[in-house]
Amino acid sequence: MTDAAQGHAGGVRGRAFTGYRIAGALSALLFLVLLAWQAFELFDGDATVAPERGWRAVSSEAAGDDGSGTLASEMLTARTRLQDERFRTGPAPDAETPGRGLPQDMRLEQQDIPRNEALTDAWSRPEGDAASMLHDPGRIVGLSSLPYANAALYERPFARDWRVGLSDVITHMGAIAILGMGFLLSAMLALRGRVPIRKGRSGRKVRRFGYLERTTHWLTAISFIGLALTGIVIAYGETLFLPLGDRVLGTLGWWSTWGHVLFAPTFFLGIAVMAAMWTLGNLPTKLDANWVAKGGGFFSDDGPHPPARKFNAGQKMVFWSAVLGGLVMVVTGVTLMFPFYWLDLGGMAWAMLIHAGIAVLLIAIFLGHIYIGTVGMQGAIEAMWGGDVDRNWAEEHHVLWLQEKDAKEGAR
Amino acid sequence: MKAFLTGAAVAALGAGLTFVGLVTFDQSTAERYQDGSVILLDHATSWDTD
Ligand code: HEM
Repeated sequence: MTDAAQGHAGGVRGRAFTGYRIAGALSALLFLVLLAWQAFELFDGDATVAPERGWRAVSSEAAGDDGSGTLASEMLTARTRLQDERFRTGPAPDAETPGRGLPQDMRLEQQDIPRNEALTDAWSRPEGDAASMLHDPGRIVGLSSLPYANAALYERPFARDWRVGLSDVITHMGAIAILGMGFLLSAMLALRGRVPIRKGRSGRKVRRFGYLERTTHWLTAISFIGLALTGIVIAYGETLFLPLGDRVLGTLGWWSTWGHVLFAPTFFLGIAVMAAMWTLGNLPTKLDANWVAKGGGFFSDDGPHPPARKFNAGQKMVFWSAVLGGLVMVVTGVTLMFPFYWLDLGGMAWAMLIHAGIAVLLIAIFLGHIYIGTVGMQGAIEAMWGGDVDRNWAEEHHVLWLQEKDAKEGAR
Repeated sequence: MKAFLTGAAVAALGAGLTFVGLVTFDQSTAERYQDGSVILLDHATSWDTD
């Protein structure tokens, strides 16, 4: 090991190198525990929502009178009629409110629904008559006095697929993708260690990203992280925060619902400016195939390092994920903000599925990006923080870019 | 560092403007009556175009 490689400030050989690997191992362990928790969540069977409480009318005197669904339904009918009337006529604050639908000596009471999961099961796996009724028209439509267009739509097979897709498949796959990525990155840090600048620092700098490039990057990054964290509260809040209490989930949920919309416009601005600045440098070339074939030179400190211009193939994938993935997120997200304006019920269901599915993928991808930009590689963060990188770093990772830049500046 | 702070400031400004915009053009999706009853002002969307 050469002198230069050993002891430079911020170097990653020797003791510092080992330190990163130990941290990686500990973090990998943590992610293993989290993955085990996710596996438990996957199989504990609470991914389905079952109705838990139902209404019934009971006599106030003789509590426990096996009372009538009938009275409850009469009261609901009266209520429905009132709503229907008001929906047609608009507010009439002076009008008389109908009397209580329930006689004085009766009251409504909630009770547990026994065998509630059996109800959900029947709903999620239709059999016999229900199945054949659903099969043909794709839905079961009934009669309803409720003043909503969708109220009379009782069952729709695609609604089931949507529900299972969103609350089961995407939720669990997303958790596996995100935690799995965390585990892989930690394991990589433990086994491979931080990627060093092989020749050590030269102490001479070269400008890599200008002020506008860096500002745009951080604008996008901050917006994305804001969207990701609030989105995780929205999607996983019940699992992650409900154990801490209703209040915690309620407060976080409130802030997250707001925050999730507030970060969106700047995210869109960020990816738009990024696309304008960097698309040209990110078009695929022959170099990329070679770079990918050699694994980016990532897995060894001695082998040949595949040459790259300003962006290597790995970075190009990150760029296109941000721009194209981000665009899909913005389009579906705006659609969800304006439900039913340009899509119908089926379209809205797809918008949700796509928004959620791409979101978890992007979070996993950008975990990888953040890793390699910080702990994963010595010297990388300087490109985005101050804008200048060490010449040895540039020569190693972007040799063609450095040569072209030197040639241009030498010629001036 | 300076670029990071600028980015953060633009993000904060964007969030503030969006908030003001949303509050200004807020449209309620439900109406509440004196007796406490509420009706939802759903769009007349429908399953029959689905
Ligand atoms: C804490 C979070 C982040 C850090 C520390 C970080 C760090 C970096 C660094 C150091 C570079 C320059 C690499 C080079 O010199 O070649 C970079 C580039 C880039 N970053 Fe980030 N980044 C973060 C978050 C994000 C997010 C959330 C996005 C997009 C949503 C993003 C998108 C990009 C893109 C498109 C590039 C240019 C292509 C590339 O180098 O991969 N970054 N980032």
